[in-house]
Amino acid sequence: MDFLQKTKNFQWILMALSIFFLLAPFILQPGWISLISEIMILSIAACGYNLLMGYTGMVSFGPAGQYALGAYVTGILLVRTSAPFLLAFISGPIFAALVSIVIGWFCVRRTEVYFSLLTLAFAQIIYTIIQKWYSLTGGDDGLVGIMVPSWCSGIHKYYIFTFLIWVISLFCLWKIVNSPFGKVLQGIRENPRRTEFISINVKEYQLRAFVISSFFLGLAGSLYSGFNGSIFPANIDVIKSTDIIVVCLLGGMHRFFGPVVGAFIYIFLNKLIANYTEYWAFVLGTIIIILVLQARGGVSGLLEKIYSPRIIGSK
Amino acid sequence: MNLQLAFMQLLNGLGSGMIIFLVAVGLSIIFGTLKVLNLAHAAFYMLGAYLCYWVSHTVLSNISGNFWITLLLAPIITAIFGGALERLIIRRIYGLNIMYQFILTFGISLVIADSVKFLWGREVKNMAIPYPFDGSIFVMGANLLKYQLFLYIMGVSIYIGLLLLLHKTKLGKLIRAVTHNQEMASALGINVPSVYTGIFMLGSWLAGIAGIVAAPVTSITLGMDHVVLIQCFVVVVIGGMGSLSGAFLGSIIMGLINSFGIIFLPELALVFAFLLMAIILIIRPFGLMGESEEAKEKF
Amino acid sequence: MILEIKSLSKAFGGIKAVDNVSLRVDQGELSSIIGPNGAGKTTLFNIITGHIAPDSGQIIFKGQDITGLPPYVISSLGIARSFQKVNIFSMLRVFENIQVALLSAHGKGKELFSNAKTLFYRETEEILEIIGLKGYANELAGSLSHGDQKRLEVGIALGGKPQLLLLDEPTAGMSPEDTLDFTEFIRSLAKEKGISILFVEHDMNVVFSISDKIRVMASGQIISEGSPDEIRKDKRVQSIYFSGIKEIKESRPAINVYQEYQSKKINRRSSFLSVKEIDTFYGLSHILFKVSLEVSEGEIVCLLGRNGVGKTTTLRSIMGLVPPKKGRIEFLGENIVGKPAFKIARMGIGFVPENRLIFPDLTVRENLEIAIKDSPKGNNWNIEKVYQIFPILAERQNQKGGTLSGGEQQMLTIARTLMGNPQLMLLDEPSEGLAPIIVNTLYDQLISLKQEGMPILLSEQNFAFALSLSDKAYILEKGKICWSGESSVLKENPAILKQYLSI
Repeated sequence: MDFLQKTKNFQWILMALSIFFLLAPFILQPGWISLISEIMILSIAACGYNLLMGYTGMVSFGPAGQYALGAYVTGILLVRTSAPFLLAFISGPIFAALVSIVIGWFCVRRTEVYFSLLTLAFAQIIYTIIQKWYSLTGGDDGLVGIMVPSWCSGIHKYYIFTFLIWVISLFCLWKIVNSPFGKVLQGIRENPRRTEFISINVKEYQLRAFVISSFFLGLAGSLYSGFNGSIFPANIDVIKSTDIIVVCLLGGMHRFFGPVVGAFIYIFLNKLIANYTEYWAFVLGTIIIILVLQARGGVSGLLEKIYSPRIIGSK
Repeated sequence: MNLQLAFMQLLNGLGSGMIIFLVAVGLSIIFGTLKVLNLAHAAFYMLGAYLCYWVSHTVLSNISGNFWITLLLAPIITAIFGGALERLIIRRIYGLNIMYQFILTFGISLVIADSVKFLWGREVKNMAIPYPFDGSIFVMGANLLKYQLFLYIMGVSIYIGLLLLLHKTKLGKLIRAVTHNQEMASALGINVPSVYTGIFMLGSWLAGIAGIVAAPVTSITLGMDHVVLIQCFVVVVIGGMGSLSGAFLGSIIMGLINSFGIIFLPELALVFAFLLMAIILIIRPFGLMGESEEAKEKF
Repeated sequence: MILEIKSLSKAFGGIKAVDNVSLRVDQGELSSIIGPNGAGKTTLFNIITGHIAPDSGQIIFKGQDITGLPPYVISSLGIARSFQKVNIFSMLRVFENIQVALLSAHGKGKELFSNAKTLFYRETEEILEIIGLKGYANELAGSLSHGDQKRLEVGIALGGKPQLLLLDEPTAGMSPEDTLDFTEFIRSLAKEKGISILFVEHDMNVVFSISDKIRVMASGQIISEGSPDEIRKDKRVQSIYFSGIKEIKESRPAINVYQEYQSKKINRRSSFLSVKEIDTFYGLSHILFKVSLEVSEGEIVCLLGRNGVGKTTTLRSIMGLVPPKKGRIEFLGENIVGKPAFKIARMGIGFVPENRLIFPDLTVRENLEIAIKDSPKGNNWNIEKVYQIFPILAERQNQKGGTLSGGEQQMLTIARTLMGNPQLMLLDEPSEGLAPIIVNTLYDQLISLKQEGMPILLSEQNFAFALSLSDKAYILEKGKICWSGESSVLKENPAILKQYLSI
């Protein structure tokens, strides 16, 4: 975020953007509002995931798992019980975080490819349980009729709700990333051995990062349930994981707002191209290939190269 | 649950295990030597299945025995395609962070999958079981498709063939040398980049064969690669990355979980497979038949 | 006394890496540990810092038993360390590198909601001042020069406010100028900041100029300790580093190949391999400085030097395994810099690595067969011929390579390279780890190769062995050639050897 911070305009840009977002419901069509809501939800998931991947260097293959836990716990509480909305809403991410304490404890004991595969295994376990437990989750028929209270129902009001959660989430993540904890995480990413030898119990910090990341993934899932009014296994399968990873790669995983930028571009592109052709996968695949081979820093990396060539580009 | 049913499920499980083996073994070899997690591997499998359908229904539809001709020739296409992919793209990601390998090969699989959609459309295709394996026979009271026999033959022959290749042929020894220490192999004059291409082509060839062999007994449809890919991962983890026998053993286990699971615990069979994968990763990450990194270095 | 080690032992497999080591470090001491490769120095460090658990023994730091504690606990108690390969946080800025160490040391590592940037600002500046990197505070650590990265690494170590600093080969890969600066920097750390420092080094200038005390390790044991003067005079130490002097005088006279060649009327003048001023780096670590050497037809040339000076890097540079950044290497008239190793091998250079690198689950015969390739000059070598020279390989031909003894593997690796019909051989420390009787056999085999006309470039620490075989010699010292000439000159003037290779 350094090059942007260097511009004195940064504060103004933020303020302008905030005003835009607040006024949006009055200016834009509902279709656009809905789109922006979706982007914000995806960007919360991606920023949460990036805390783990971009900042701590832990490549998880299964963010969809925690996202699913958040989405379904909230959904189930709202559909099958009469729990108050906010309680149901916050239960999603809390449950995701609790489960990830257990999952994470096992995962951080493995490194590299084994860590990644283990996260994938757990995500698949979660997915399969959700898909098969018909009585609880509705299986492939999904969970429908997720009702939100009137003060946030409807596209516009839910947008405001989402926007608030989005701002709060990004603020928290920003604080975390710039805190001592955040610096230690980056140290772990750069050089775990060295970090161990500045008195850091690396596994403990990795577990904390895993749990915090899971909380925000679950939060995004919960938001989505309310947004969509329904949730299906198809929303939380492996493709969701790859979506999140691609968003981080696209926007740039070494910069805080990278995943946000990535979410914008990704969803826009998706909607745009899906209008013209049914071969969205082909386009996405090609973009991914070009990104990995030529532009590993994503869009923010490219911007940085153009505007501040002095800074070394990301890995 | 009577003995007959159990026996039939056993045979079915072994059969589906053989198909999984044919796909998983290529993935395992590629990972064991090139150290690349190739998510596009299952896309080659799908390509093989579609090619099979296409050839037998259009190109060679009037020729009897076209299935066998396809089995012989089509994997060569996937092999060549794999070789081109390795030269152009894959070799640029050796040694990179696993995330890049994961997402890049995923991207390649998307491109292949959509190309398949473009060429052959969305409808599910089906293929008849070819002569002489059509029909069924009675084995100990159970009704067994004759094609299952073919699956056993294919699986075991490929397994033995690969064992012979790796242990008895010069190419196999080159592969093992390069896997062990590619610097030393290079210093002895072995063209390591070409060996890598060859290995990738071998893996792609095997995936193509798997697709063709699976075609008559699976629905040929978009998305068939996803199902298989996940199962491959389970197999390769359980058996051990880079281990030939591990892939064989793991595939049999996977096949049996599938077939018995459907009878006993239809909801949980798949969960059980992933649970097994997680358990192996937790207690013995290099798989049942893989070697730990320390063991490999001990000479 | 700040650190006490009592009877520490650690074995890997059957080999004792650290054998009953005891030592004491006093507060404020600036001392070093030296010794040949494999003496156990790094293992000792790894045990002290908790990366490896010892088999037996105790480590007591400031009165507390720290044996077997995990590294992150040990570092919080006041021991800091630098590693052989530069270990910094490349993508963080220089001041962040140090700041994170300070944050952790003050127990703030888990704080989520304070702004890290402003914490410990003053302390970070102080450390930056000490390590001389104040002007670089905002640079990305990865962009610093090698020497500066090493300083930064010490800076990170200082963030933990250590009382004991362990430095593992701190000046490896540094230019002579940087080395001088760094040496002075270490000295001032110890004397002005009162930090006890224990370092491992191969550069004897550094060791002897600033150490209060030197300990010498060999084969896992401390064989001597004392002040620099005492060590210099210690005969036991001399014999470790300089074991060859007596042997040179008593070794058999080298077969006078010059006379042989005269009789065979072979023209020895043509240069086969010409290395011209190469500079080789490992990352930012500058290992070779304008190294030049020549091997002519039919010659055996040896490259001498202590460990860590760059002998292996030189051979690997020639072989294309580590391409030099500058300079030329001409083989048979063609520049081979930048070519991949297998192409260089196919042009006719054969490489025999140290550590043998046998393919362990291929049989002896398979190891040999794999290396078969044709030579444009005709195939001199085949399996039968190789079995003649190395009969033990014929005996063991169906055994897996991994089951052979060290000496047998050495023969196998030489034989394997011969199967490729090389026109020039590079041998990296072939006699290392071999029993004397095997070394004699090796000698015979190499002589017979020479008689066949094979030019050989040999790197060795065992200079008696090397000089008895070779016509010409080069001496490497910290990446630079500091002497070259005929081997006979060195044999007759051991003082030269002593000057460059001893302490």
